Amino acid sequence: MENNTADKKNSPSVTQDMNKGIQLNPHDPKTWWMAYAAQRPAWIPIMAPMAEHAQFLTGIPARQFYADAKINVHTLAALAAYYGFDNAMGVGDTYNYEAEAMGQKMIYSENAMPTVDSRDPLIKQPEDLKKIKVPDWLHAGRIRSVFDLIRLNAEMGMPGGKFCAPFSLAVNIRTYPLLIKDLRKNPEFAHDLFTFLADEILTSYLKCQKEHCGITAATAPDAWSAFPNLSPDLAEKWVVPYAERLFKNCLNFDVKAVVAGSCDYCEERIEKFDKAILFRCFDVQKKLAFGMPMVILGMGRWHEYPLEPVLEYLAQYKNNNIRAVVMAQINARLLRDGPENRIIDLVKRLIDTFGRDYNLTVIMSNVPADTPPRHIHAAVSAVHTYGRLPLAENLDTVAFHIPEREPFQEYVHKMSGGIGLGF
Amino acid sequence: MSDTLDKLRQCIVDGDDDMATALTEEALQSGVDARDIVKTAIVPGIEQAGKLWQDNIYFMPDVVLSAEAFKAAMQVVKPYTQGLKTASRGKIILGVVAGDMHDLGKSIVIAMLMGAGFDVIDLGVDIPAATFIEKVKELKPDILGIGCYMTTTMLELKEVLRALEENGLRNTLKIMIGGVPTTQQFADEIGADAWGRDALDAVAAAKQLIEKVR
Repeated sequence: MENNTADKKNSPSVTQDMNKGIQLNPHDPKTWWMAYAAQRPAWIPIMAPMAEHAQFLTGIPARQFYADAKINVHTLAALAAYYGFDNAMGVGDTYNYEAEAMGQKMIYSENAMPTVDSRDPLIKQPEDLKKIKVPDWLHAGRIRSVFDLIRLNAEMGMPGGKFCAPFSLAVNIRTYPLLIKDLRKNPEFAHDLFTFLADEILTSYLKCQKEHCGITAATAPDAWSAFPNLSPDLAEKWVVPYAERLFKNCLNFDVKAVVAGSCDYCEERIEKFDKAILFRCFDVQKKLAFGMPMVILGMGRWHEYPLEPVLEYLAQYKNNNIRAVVMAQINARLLRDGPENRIIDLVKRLIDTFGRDYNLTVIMSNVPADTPPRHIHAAVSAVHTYGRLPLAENLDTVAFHIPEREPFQEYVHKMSGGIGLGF
Repeated sequence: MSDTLDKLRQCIVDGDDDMATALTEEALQSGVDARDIVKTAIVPGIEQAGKLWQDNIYFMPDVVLSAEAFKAAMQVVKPYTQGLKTASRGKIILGVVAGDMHDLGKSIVIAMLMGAGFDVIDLGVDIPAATFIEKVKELKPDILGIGCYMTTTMLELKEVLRALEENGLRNTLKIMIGGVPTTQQFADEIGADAWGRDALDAVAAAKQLIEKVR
């Protein structure tokens, strides 16, 4: 089967090649991860953008962690090296930067991720849309720190721009209830709003990222359009056209801007799991992937949902000798609550189901702040053991144990020669 | 008049807040008792929306719009029901913890709880522990509902419970929690009395808790 479709940009082999010969620098945690990444064996990749957990574990004040790219990237790189992730990207409050730059009021606190003040939306009335100007990106909000973050990530072999998807951005400046009401009662305004965000705001933002960070691709999360926040029908109507519009706009300056995570199937009640709705969600994801055959098993309860329907959907690729991408997430609450054997069982089941015929990546996203590190070690060890390539024919025969690890602070002390993270 | 009430009930199911307001006013002007409007049209409307949610026919946008229509209708009848003797299941105050501005889930929970006959007071979002304490002392609720929507602000729930304990208020009420990052396990860890996965769970939990209080 031809491996012709996976996005190899961030695959372990690529970052491995890039980081060969890297010298460990006690002052630069990026090199800790790069040195680790250079000598990884071949296995199914596992990654975890985990800002909240990193901030909690290190005790760095939120105001610093989410505004200073160096602090953010160094902390996450140290954590990625400690846990053994195949990706060490710095990541902040990804949904908020553009809204803040546009003038949306934010709430900052000592311990929590910054958040938009939904009591005071930027667009209170449809007429407010006309008052919004395209920000001077280099001087607005925390955009400079985002650009620093992108550049630092690129230094570790993980280039790529970041932006907030049009739908989630619209929620941030309008609020969800008002936006939903717009879709129903004032679709002309909703169209104007999404068009403005796609054509004016996000296109200029990504062009600026291209000019100042040299990006050629950018991805956006879009949790506000996950199911059931939006039905697949509404996503078809209000997410896909504007994602396509943005994609086309950005091709004009050679950037592939992709909205990911829309229509992520997140039914909370297992008794309401519905294969037909899941397939509709996958269909929307397919349109947003612009030709890349992939499915996202995101924030939903995949430790409880059946996996057979996913295989049924993926058969359209397998039957045509196409090796599709499967991005499978370990549920954040499972990761926090455990127990470890339940986390390990999920990882093993994901690898057994998707690891042979598809390009599987295991993801831990939105890792809760107070997740016990042992649960994360369990998940990573399970991926590294059961996901070692080539995969064992019968994973039940693979010996598994969770290695005992020193606490993160001790690891940092050892790697830095007592300096710590340096801030 | 039953035609107007039928239309009002349907408006709430359909999530049309403007029409719900107009029809509630029309019913009141026609002399229908405010309590009858609530009982025969407004509450059945939000209950029907909840049922459709349960049956996978309604999704979040539909439920949010129904909750908005419910809120609009209730605002119209409120002045007419104040001072009247109405049967309340119990008093609940609800708020989202400090540093957290997400109130989408809370709005739906409030509509469903009010629909179930609870007297609900909304404290809003970004509520510090000290304000929760002050409001509990002042309003003496049967149940305190606390929400959070980020894993960092989730830790604030512990602070609220600790503050209630320190102020000798913990045993005067029942506590239920909810919000995206929370789980039954977390509720158990911090000593809450109940956890709601969604608005329907919250109503069921509140009904059970109130039995224990009474």
